[in-house]
Amino acid sequence: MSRTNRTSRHPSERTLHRFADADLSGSPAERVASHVSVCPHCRARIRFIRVLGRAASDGVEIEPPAGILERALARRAAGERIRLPLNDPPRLRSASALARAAILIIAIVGGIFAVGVRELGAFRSDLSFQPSRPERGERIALTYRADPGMAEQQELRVRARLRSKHDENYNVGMKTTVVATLVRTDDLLFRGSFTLPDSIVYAVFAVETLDGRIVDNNGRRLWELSVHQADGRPIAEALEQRSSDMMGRNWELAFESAKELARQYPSDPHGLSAVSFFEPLALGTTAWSDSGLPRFQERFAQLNRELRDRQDLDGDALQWMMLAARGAKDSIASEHWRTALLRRFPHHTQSLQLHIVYDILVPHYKDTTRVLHELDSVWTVVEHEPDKGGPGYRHLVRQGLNFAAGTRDADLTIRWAERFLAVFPSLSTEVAARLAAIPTLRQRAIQILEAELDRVEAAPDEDRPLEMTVEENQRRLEIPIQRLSNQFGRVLLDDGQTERAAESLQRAVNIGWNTKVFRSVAEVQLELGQASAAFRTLARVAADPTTTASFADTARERLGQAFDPSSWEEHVRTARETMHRRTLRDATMRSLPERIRLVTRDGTTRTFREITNSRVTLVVIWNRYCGEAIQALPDIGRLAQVLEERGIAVVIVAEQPPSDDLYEFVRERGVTQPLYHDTRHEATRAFNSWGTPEYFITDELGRIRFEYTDLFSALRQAEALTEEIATTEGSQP
Amino acid sequence: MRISSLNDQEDLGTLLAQASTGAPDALASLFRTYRTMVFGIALRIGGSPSDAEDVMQDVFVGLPEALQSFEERGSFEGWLSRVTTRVALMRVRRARFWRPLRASMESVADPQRLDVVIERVEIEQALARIPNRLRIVFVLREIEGYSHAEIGKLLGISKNTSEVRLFRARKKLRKLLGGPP
Repeated sequence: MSRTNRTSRHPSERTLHRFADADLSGSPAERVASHVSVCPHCRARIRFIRVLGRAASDGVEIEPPAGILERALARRAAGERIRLPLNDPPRLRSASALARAAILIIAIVGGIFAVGVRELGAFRSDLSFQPSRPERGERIALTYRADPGMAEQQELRVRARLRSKHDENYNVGMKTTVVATLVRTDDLLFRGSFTLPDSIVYAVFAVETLDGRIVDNNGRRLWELSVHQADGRPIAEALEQRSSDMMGRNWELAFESAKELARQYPSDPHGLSAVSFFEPLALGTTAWSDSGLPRFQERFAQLNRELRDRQDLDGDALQWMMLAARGAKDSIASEHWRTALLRRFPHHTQSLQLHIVYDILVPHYKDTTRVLHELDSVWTVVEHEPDKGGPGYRHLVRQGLNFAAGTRDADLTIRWAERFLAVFPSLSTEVAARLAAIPTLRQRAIQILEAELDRVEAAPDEDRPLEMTVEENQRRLEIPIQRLSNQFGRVLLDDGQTERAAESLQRAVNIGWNTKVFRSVAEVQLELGQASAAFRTLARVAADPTTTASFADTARERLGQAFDPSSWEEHVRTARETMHRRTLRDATMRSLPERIRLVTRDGTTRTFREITNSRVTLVVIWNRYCGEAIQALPDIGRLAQVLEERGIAVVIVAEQPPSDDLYEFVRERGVTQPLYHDTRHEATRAFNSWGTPEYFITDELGRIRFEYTDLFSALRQAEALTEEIATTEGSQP
Repeated sequence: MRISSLNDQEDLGTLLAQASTGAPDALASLFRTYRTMVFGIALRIGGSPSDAEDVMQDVFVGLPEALQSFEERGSFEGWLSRVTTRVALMRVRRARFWRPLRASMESVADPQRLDVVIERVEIEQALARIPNRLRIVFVLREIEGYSHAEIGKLLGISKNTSEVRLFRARKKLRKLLGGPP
């Protein structure tokens, strides 16, 4: 190319900019200079770039609005602390990985209690997998770009919930395991690896410090890994297990995963069956929507035609076709697939279920001996099956134990109890309850409960939910420990071990806060003649905000002469203080942005702070298209009424925009409170809400004090918070 | 230079020591001195006055604890500028996850005015209308004076990406400000 040609051709946009920035040197710079000297167009562009830069950096000072300093000082005075980012954030891979908030907060209030560092969710940490679409049994390289909260660590560990083909819905009883240690290789970069076990099809992960005191759970979403096929599709079992894992965590994603299964594997009946299972759940109905059923029936009919005469389908496929036929309300097809399943795969878990229900329980349920004989025969046939997952086995042992315990025959009961434990090792307390009712088996019940208490108290790490730190898990375990202590105490009492019984029951009273347990313990204390202990326990029941005012009469009646009216109120007051103290142990403190804008029914925009108006507030993040959220509406409506009567605000944040239909929908389900519409997603973002419904309680300064709580605890928590505020204000000069 | 009343390093050192204990007077003094700088950075990076207010508040709420890590060897103004930049960037990142980027662009200036002096106020208006990812690079490079390598580190992008975003930002601004075609 001649020099003339080079000079006459316009430089690339990038070269021109680099020239304007004086970032170009040598012959490239000379070439551009030559061109510019003869090209008014490029000259104008360069001039523009330079003028723009100079004008922009001209140092014009912009005065901030008034009041910022005052608000900042007020936040500090209220105990708020923010950890500012002093290091550059890690390099991130995608926009979607940049979601979480930035600032870590330490809050210390009034010296009453201190809470740990909390994230507002600044920049999102990231756990990546290589390969990201592994096949079964592959070695996985892990790279973790750390949350700043992990900045001081040299090593971290990755915990996982590993799911194989037959793992159950929800995550109750699912074990977790440490799969890898990550070693720091860069400022905020950690690396490690592990081998995916062959049986695993889907897994979720969290990253934590070696002592488990800081957990990065990816904003409770966790990180996911699915096993893929060579063609790049996730295997069907991975999508199934993803649905199972999301159940109770995020119903929308559970449904999405089912739909993905149906899309990716249109000839796999499980996808269709799963869609029919999840759609009503996602819509919060018990049946198909009017528009959904015909569409589904059409798809089912097509698949039914394709598969009806196939002889190579496995037991699972026959099962899913049967269930899909039920979903499509096609009784003829349902019968066809049921018969085929029973004939071709009599030991399939679904076949067992059908056999137990239709051939044993329905015709013979009044004949206990016959039922037990038949169930025993079934067990003899299947007891050596290696995999006892699925509904059939569960049904078999549960019915066996029910019928056996009903006979009060010790041999029969213990036989079925051991079978039950073989299938449901995590439900030992259910077995203990059955055994305790038969005097000769009570020692075995005591043994089981003692072992279970030891196990729960030891807080095995494999039982710790991935989302929780060690401390959070300890607090979570208070609930089963309290329940077990109560059950254990009652069995000991029946066994005549009164001293141990009293000790165990007292323990149940001293841990956590549960009026049901308190009532139960008080009854036992009365049986033991411990009237003053029962008096104190009943005062705890009276102190709970869910207990009616007339409970004092009930207590008087139960305690008789031991009821001391002069000290009753004092005991209730003390119990209330204990309740507040225990409740506030679970409190957190997380600031919310100054401005969270919500839209009212008439389209007006109001900020969260304007709405709450310095009141303690229950915030409900709600979604019209989440079954669980819809089912919660009547309870939300009732609780909202009670809270409002006590001066506690309720803000129901709907993810949908306002519409008459929506208001009619919630009103029909008992909610008459106004909805606030999160059309800008500012509330869901600020609260770091992922699934719905989610409940939060904020204080008078608009800070989150209880997060991801439940309706059952909300009243007690809101009351404890109100009391704390009143005490703090009262103690100020 | 933005600092007028705190040029004396000894005074500044004393003030910072007091502010690091959370003393309101010391914080107020720092606020008075650096308010326009902090607000300006937050506004230009975030593009919204309300977000800039929140950023500014967060910076001053967290400043005392952060000061405990400040080494007096460096310039306080530069340090505060970097901290503010990071807080503002985090806020933008969080917003970006949820909000769609600004939808459309319309010219804010007369396209015939090819060679006029660009008014600062027009730049501020135009800056607020270009996508976050482009505006941030432009602000960091042209106003805050970061190099592409520094911007890359700050934003977690490559130096090359930073350069490309700067070009694109200028291109959008050129359109908005009625620059040469």
